[in-house]
Amino acid sequence: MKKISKNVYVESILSRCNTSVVVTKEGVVVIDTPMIPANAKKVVGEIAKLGPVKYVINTEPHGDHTSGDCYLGGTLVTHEGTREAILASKVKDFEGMLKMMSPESLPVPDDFHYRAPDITLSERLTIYLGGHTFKLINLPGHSPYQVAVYCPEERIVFTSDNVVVEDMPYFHQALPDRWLESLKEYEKMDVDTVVPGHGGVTDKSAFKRMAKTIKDCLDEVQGAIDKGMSLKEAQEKVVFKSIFAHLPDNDRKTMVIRMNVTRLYEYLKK
Amino acid sequence: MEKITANVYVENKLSMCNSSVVVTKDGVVVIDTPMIPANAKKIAAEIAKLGPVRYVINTEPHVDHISGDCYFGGKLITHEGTRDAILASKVKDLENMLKMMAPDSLPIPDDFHYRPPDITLTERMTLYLGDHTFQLISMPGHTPFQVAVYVPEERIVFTSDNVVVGNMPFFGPSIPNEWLKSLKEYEKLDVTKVVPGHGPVTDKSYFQKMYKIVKGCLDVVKAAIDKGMSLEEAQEKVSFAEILPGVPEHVKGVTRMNVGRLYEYLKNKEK
Repeated sequence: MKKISKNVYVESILSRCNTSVVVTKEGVVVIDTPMIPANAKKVVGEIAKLGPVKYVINTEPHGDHTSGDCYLGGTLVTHEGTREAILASKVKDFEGMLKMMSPESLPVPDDFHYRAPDITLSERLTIYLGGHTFKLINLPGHSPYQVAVYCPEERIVFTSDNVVVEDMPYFHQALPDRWLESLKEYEKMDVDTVVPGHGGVTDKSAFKRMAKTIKDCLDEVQGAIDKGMSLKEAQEKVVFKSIFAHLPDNDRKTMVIRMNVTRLYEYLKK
Repeated sequence: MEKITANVYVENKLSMCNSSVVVTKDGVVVIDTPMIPANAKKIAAEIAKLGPVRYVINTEPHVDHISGDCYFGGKLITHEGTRDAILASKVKDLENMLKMMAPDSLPIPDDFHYRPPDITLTERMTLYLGDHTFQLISMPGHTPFQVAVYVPEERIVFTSDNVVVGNMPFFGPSIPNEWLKSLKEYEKLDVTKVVPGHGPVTDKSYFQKMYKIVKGCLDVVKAAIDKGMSLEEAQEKVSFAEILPGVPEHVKGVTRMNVGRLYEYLKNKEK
């Protein structure tokens, strides 16, 4: 785990998302958990050295942020919509995901299970622990259930996949217009450090870059619609070439772009 | 404590409000705490027999609901505005209140302190414990920071002082039009039991009665304003006796305060 401020650590190698830890005088708060069970256990061992886990927060409903929850103690806090997603999750789906993303980590160990959250929020909820404040704020975007965790004492915000660095945004469950609005909300926070859902820790300037990326994706798909392209044509011809030119070309990139085009096409058509 | 459903107990003698306990498979949830320290300790001992305290919820910011919090474990959950009120509270305030309401309970013991909440909500949050669900819903009215605690598995709602039975409602820091709206919101909950902030446990039919009481108080003060009464005249002459039959108006101070708030509220609305 990398120490990024006086009391904040981020693990981005063993975790499939950024797993963060805030150390307070009365124990630690963990934000998002590693997807691969063996790695989750390793990270839990590291976290135990920093203090007892009092709260675990999931910033969104997706498996790469929630699956390690069962290996951590404390009170699990998520958006109400994330709780519903967790309750609907099957170990079989998890197995399928690992088969795709990390086949060497199979089989799924017997002690794995989807952990039901103890507390949910819908709009805002604040946790006070050992001199630290954790403001949980629903900021829809990547999904309707994204939660920002703003910790004013550390001048830091954990954004969920509403902000990703050196990666593509995922639109499959997105509300693109709300996403753009939410990025303006982050701008209002008094922070120096921004921990994205995936990729390197960054600063406030990431919000404008992220908004531009989303806007550019929307514009390119809108352009295809204006030209009268069918969904199939758009899927073939829209490749966000200049938007993601800095990312290496590979099968995953092609697949994610196609998924994003599909979602944005359907969204804009409505 | 009186058992009112399979898993719910209410204490209204040792407490200056209704202090309630919901027993789940994984521990208990306490809703509002006794104001007098010695009584809070007695109740805490009673509750310990029902299970470990996992959460304490305050339904509103007033001393008669929050002062016993320090004698309970678990995580304390309130509205953000109630947390601000608790952080601003002074032991002196409780002392003054007890001097008025329960002088025999003085002096305040050394172990008393105002306990800051661990978690706050602004609109809605939900706790899941054992097989029980606790929906905490902001319902402005008696103050801007009232919280309803709705437990669907017990078909019960704990209303805070947005509903009081056999008692004069307090309009001090109230938002009357929001209060009326909130009383309509309670109606939508699927409940058979209603635990008011003060007074005996009741049922859904009481929401309409409470609505009439709040609306009635507003109307009486409005009539006084329409007659051209000054604030002082209204405070002298307005009576809520017809709206609240059987509720003694002996605490004339409360009526004056209520008339004062409603008068000011209605005058501001005119502007």
